[in-house]
Amino acid sequence: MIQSHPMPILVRLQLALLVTVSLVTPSLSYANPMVTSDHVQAWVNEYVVPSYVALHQANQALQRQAHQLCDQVSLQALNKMQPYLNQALQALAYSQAINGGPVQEQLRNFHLYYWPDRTNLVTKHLSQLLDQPSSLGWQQYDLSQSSIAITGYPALERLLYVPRYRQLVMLGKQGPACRYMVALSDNLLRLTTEITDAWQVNWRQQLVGPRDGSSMFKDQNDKNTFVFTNIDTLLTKIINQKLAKALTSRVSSAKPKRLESWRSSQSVIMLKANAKGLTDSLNLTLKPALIDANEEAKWDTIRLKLSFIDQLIEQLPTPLMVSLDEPKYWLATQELRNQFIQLQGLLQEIYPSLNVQLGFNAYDGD
Amino acid sequence: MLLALCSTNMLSASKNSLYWAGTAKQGKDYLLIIVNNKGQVLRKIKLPSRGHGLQKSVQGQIIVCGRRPGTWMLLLQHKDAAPHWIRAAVNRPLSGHCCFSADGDYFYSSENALEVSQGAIGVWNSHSGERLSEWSSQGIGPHEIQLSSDGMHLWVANGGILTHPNRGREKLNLDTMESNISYFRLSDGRLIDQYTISEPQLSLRHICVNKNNQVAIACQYQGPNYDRKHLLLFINDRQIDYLPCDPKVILELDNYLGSVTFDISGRWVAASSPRGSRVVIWTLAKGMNANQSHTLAISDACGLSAYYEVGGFIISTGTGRLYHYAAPTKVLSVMGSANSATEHLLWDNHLAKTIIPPHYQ
Repeated sequence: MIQSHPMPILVRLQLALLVTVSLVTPSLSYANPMVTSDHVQAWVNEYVVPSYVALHQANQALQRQAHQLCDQVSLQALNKMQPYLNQALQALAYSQAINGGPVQEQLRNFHLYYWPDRTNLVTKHLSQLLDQPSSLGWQQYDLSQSSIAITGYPALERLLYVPRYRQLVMLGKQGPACRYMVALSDNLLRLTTEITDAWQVNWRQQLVGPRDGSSMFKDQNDKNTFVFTNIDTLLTKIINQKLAKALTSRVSSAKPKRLESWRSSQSVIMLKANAKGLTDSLNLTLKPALIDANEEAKWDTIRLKLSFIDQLIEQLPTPLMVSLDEPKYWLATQELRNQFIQLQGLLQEIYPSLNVQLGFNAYDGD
Repeated sequence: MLLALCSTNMLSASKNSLYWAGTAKQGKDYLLIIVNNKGQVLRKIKLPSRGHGLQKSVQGQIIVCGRRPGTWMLLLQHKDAAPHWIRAAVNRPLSGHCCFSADGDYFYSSENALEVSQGAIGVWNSHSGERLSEWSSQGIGPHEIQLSSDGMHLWVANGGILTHPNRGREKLNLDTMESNISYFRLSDGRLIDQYTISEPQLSLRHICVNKNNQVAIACQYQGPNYDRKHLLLFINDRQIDYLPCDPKVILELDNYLGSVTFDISGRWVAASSPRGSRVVIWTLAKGMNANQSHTLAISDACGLSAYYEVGGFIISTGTGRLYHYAAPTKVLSVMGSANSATEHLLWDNHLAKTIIPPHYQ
C-alpha cells in the first residue's frame, strides 16, 4: 500500500481558506493591478543583475579552482573542487527565472547547461573527445565552436563526479581531461561575462530606460509580459522537464536519472534555487502590483503556495536520485509537481488583469 | 497573369475601405477577426476550434481552415456574409491552409489522406461548398498552398511531417521525413515540378508567391534545438536556394519561421519567427540576388500580410498587437491600439494574404 507523504496540514488549511476567501469576497479595489516601470526596474536591479553577477562570481571561483587543481592534481583537490561546481549550479538555477535576453542569445543557455540530454550527447561527445589522442592544446582551444554538449556544467560535472573521468583528470596537468577542465571553466566564465555585459550595456536599458522604438519592448505591457513569460517558462520547465520526466506516470517506472544534475546530487538544491528565483521575482513585481490594487488576498494565496512549495522541497531527501523510486518520495515529488502546476494556474488567472498576454504562437505555433 | 488575382472591387478600393482578416484567441474562444485599415475590429465570428490558414478571393470571399482538429472550414461569400460551415471530407483531415482559384470560383485545401499516410489536395466549389475532386499532394503533410502568378498552377509546401488526428501533435516520422515543394497544373492536378533540399529535417511549410512566380519558403527545423539552420528558401526560375541570412539572425530565429509574405510589389519579403520574436525583411534584386535588409524585434510576432504600399506589411502578434510596418523607411506603428489590443485578442499564426491591386502588376 502506497502511503501518502505527510503534508503540513496547517498550511493546506490556510491555503484552502485563502483560495475560498479570495474567490468569494468581492474585490475592494476599483482598478486592475498594475505592474509599473518601478516594479520592473526593481526586478532588473534586485533580481536579474544580481543573479547573473552571482553566477559570474561562482564561475570565477570555479575557474580559479580548475587552474589550481591542474597545477597540483590530487583526489583531495578534485573533491575540493566539487562544492565550487555545486555553487555555480545553484547560482544558475536561481537565475533560471530569466530565460530570455542575453542568456538565450548565441545559444548561451545551451552552452552553459545542456540539459535535458535525451540522447546522452554529453557522455558520447565527452568520450569521443577524451579518448582522442589528438586532444592536445586544450588551453588554446576555443570551446565556443564545439558541440554545446561539452561546453558547460554537465561536462564538468562528469569530470568531477564520475569515476572514469576522475581517473582521467588524475593524469594531471599534461592529461587532456585536466586541460579540458581548464578550458571548460574559462568558457563558462566567458559566457557569464558576455551575459552580464549584455545586461549592463543593452538589456537593462531596454527594460528600464526611456522608450526606444528599436526595442523589443514597445511599451510597459511588453516589459511586463517579458517578466511573466520568463516566470511561466521556468514553471513549465520545472513541471514538464525537471519533474515529469523523472517521475513518469507510476512509481514503478520512475526514472531517477532523468533528474537534473543527479551525478552531483544537486537536483533538489537546484529546485530550491528555482523556487527562490520565482519567489524573488514575484515579490518584486506581482506582490506590489496586487497590494497596491488592494488585492492582498490574491497575493496571500500566491505567497502561501510558494511557501508550501518551499516546505515540500525541504522535505525531499538529498540525493533524490536514490530515493525517487520509493513510493513515499515519489508521492512527495509528485505532490511538489502538483503544487507547481497549481501555482502556474493561479498566476495565469491573474495575468489578464495585469494586461499581460503570455503569448500564443511562441508556445503553440504551427 | 496576376491581373486574374484582382477583384473589380479592389480596383476602386480606397484605403479606408480595406480590411484584413486573421484568426485569434480571446479568452477560451477562437475567432475569425476582420479589421479595417485602422485596426478596428469590424466583425468577429466564433470558430469551433483553433483556426489556421485563411485567404481572401478576388470576389471578396474568405476561407478559413480549422486545424487540430482539421475538421471544418468557414466560407464567407463576403466579409459581412453569413457563415457557411464546411466539413472536411471523411479520412481527409485538413492540414493547414486553403487557397482560392484565380477567379474565386474554386478553392483548394491541403489535407492528409489517412489511409495512405500521404498528402492530398481537395478541390471545392467556393459558392456551394461542394467537394469536387482531389489529387495527391506528392508528399507527406502538405501545409501552405498558394496559387501561381499565372493563376493556372498551384504551389504546395509538403512539410514532410506525418501526423494523425488520433495522435495529437505527435510527429510520427521525424527520422524519415522528407519535405518538398510541388508545382501542379490546376486543370488536371498534374505534377509539373518538384523541389527538394538536402536537409531532411527541414520542414518546408509556408510559402508566398510574387508576380514573377518566385516563391519564398519559410521553414521549421525539426532537428535538435541547439542545431540552428537556415530557414528561408527561394525558388526562382526553377532553382531553389537559401536566401542570405546573417548567422546571428539564424540563431535568433530559433529554428522556426511561422509565416512569410511578399509586399505588394513582390520585391520585399517578410518572414516571422514567433519563437525568436523577430521579423526578418529581405529585398530582392534580379534573379536569386537578395539582401537580408534588416530585422525587427517584436514579441511573438507571427501573422503577416502585405499592406497597400511598396514595402508595407501588417504584422500581428500572439500578445495581441497589430502593427503596420513600412520597410523602406523602417517605421513601425501600432494599429488599432484602442480596439483590438484592449480586447485581449491573441492573434494566431496567419493573416489573410492581400490581393494585389492592378497598378502593381
